[in-house]
Amino acid sequence: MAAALADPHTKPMLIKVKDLKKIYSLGGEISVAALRGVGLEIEAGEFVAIMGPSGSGKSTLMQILGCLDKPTSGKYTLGGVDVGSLNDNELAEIRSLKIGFVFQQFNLLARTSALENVVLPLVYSGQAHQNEKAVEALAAVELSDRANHWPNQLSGGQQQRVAIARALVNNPDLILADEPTGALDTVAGGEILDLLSALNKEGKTIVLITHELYIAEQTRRIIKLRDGEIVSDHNNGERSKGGGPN
Amino acid sequence: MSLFLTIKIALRALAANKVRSALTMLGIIIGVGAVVAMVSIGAGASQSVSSSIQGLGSNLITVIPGSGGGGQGGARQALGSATNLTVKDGEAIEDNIATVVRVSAEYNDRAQVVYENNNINATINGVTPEYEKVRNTTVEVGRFITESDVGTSDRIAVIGKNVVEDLFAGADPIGKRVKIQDIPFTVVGILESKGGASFISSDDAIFVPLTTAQNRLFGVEHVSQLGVEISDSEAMDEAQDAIGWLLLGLHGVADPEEADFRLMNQQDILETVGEVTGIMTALLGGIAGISLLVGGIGIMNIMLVSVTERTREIGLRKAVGAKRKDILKQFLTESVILSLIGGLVGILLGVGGSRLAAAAMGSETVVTVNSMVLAFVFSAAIGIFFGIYPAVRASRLSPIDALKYE
Ligand SMILES: Nc1ncnc2c1ncn2[C@@H]1O[C@H](COP(=O)(O)OP(=O)(O)OP(=O)(O)O)[C@@H](O)[C@H]1O
Ligand SMILES: [Mg+2]
Repeated sequence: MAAALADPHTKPMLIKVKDLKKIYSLGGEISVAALRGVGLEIEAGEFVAIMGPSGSGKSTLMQILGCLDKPTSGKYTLGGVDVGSLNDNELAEIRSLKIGFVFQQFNLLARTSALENVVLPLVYSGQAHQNEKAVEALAAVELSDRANHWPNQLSGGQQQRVAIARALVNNPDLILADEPTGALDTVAGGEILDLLSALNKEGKTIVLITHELYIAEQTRRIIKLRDGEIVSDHNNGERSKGGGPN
Repeated sequence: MSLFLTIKIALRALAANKVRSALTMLGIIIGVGAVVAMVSIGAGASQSVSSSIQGLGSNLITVIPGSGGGGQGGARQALGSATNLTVKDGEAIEDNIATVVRVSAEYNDRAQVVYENNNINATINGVTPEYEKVRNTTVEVGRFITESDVGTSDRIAVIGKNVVEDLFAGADPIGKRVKIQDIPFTVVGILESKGGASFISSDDAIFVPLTTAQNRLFGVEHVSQLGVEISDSEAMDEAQDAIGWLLLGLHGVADPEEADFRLMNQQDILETVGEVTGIMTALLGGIAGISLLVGGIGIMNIMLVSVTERTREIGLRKAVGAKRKDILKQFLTESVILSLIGGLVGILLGVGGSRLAAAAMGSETVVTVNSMVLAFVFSAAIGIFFGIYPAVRASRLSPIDALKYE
């Protein structure tokens, strides 16, 4: 699969996933296989869209890539670190230093200013110059003038931009966005997408889950999931209409 | 995360639900307030009782009659009513035991006292001049009973402060004539008030010469007690033993178990009273402590509700890098702040409440720094103890389950 991305000066793989399985047991005999053996490699600096029907395991995959959840089996290496061997604290550390999340529902803290929301990852990773960095991140999403507003005083698009600023503030290796435009209209969604594209151009690796083909088309690589398995993975340029397994 | 920031976040979370936080604190406020008030009222009562016991005289051994025959119950029944203790016993004690400074022989009983139209039933204390020193008594106006009063069984009386009120309605009683059991007495002095617990106060008593009480009023030969003053508190135990053996000899009793008298010293009484008031204080404090416990359970309850309500917040914090201990600290800080503020307000309320109660009941309260520090530390401990379970629960939430929580 990675061979499909014929990149001559191969950068080190940021993400390496082998035979990843996630089985949710709902107690008793009932269990749901959300991922049934996913293999995947993503280089640093890529902009990847993950698509697939509802329930195909996109969010599950992203949670595992984001170190929020552990796979039932399989191996996941992030930036050379075998994530499977880490404990809860080490996972929290990875999340705070290497990963930025953008959720469909924004997930900002209520009654907390935009600036304080953005500063949160820095607080937990205990970095220096927290306020300056947060101010900078807010400026990057063009919300400097709303720094002291609470989430309920911002539009949906603005809230999502605050969330992106929060995802950026740590200067993470990887930004994971789970349907970031899902709760927004096309204009606001377009702005968010432009923001993510710009970040990718600056060198950030971005993995984006979306249902919208026109959004996926803005990325450079589209991975399609169905029933917990990758059914297609190809560069955007050589995209064959209708998808299908590669 | 810095402590300052943790506290700031906790305060903001508490401020987001002001009424709820206040009501939760109320449980602790009432609990701590009750503990502080009860302990101070108890300590005050114990202090006033022991100071009035001390006011009865220092280095004092009291001899009271009691029929022989060992058994506690039997002896107790006869206490004070036996007739085998006499002035001679007192003289023997004073003459034979070196550490004895002086002995006050006393006979007391109740009698009807009349002045003009007023009529009271008062304690009549037949005493000698030694009483004044032995029992730490001071004459405020006039004079005390003298050697010659006793020698002539004179019909004079020295009265306590309350008697002036009750019998003379506050008028100057010096030189006035009162009738005790129809025998006229002249009032020659008034004693200074001792205050304190009235059951052992001299404020309500009328003092007459011992011989007058024995011969003219009550027709007895014996005394009801001997107050023995010892020169040095170090010598108390030794003196008490010496008095015991001397009286056994005088009364012809061989076996100390069969003694027809009892010896009590100030220290014993103080200890007994201290024990009783200590138990009372502990009991009151314990009952108040239960309300503190209930307050603590209230904190736990609210913190659990808060953890549930803020599950998504916890998930988000974890997603952006909060570790278990960060979440634990955050919720623990909230519960400790609740209980500490509750504790501080409770202390103020308890101090105020005990002052009010003291003013209303005319008793003393002793608010010790110790009891306040204890209450404060205790309320912090309550915050930690009852906060730990909700905080641990919050910290154990998996980030993804928490983020998905509805
Ligand atoms: N906590 C869970 N317990 C049990 N089953 C779960 C849990 N989370 C997800 N699943 C199941 O795993 C499968 C994949 O879910 P997932 O959320 O990854 O889908 P998705 O591709 O993100 O769908 P959507 O596009 O609707 O967001 C689904 O069948 C879902 O029911
Ligand atoms: Mg999803």
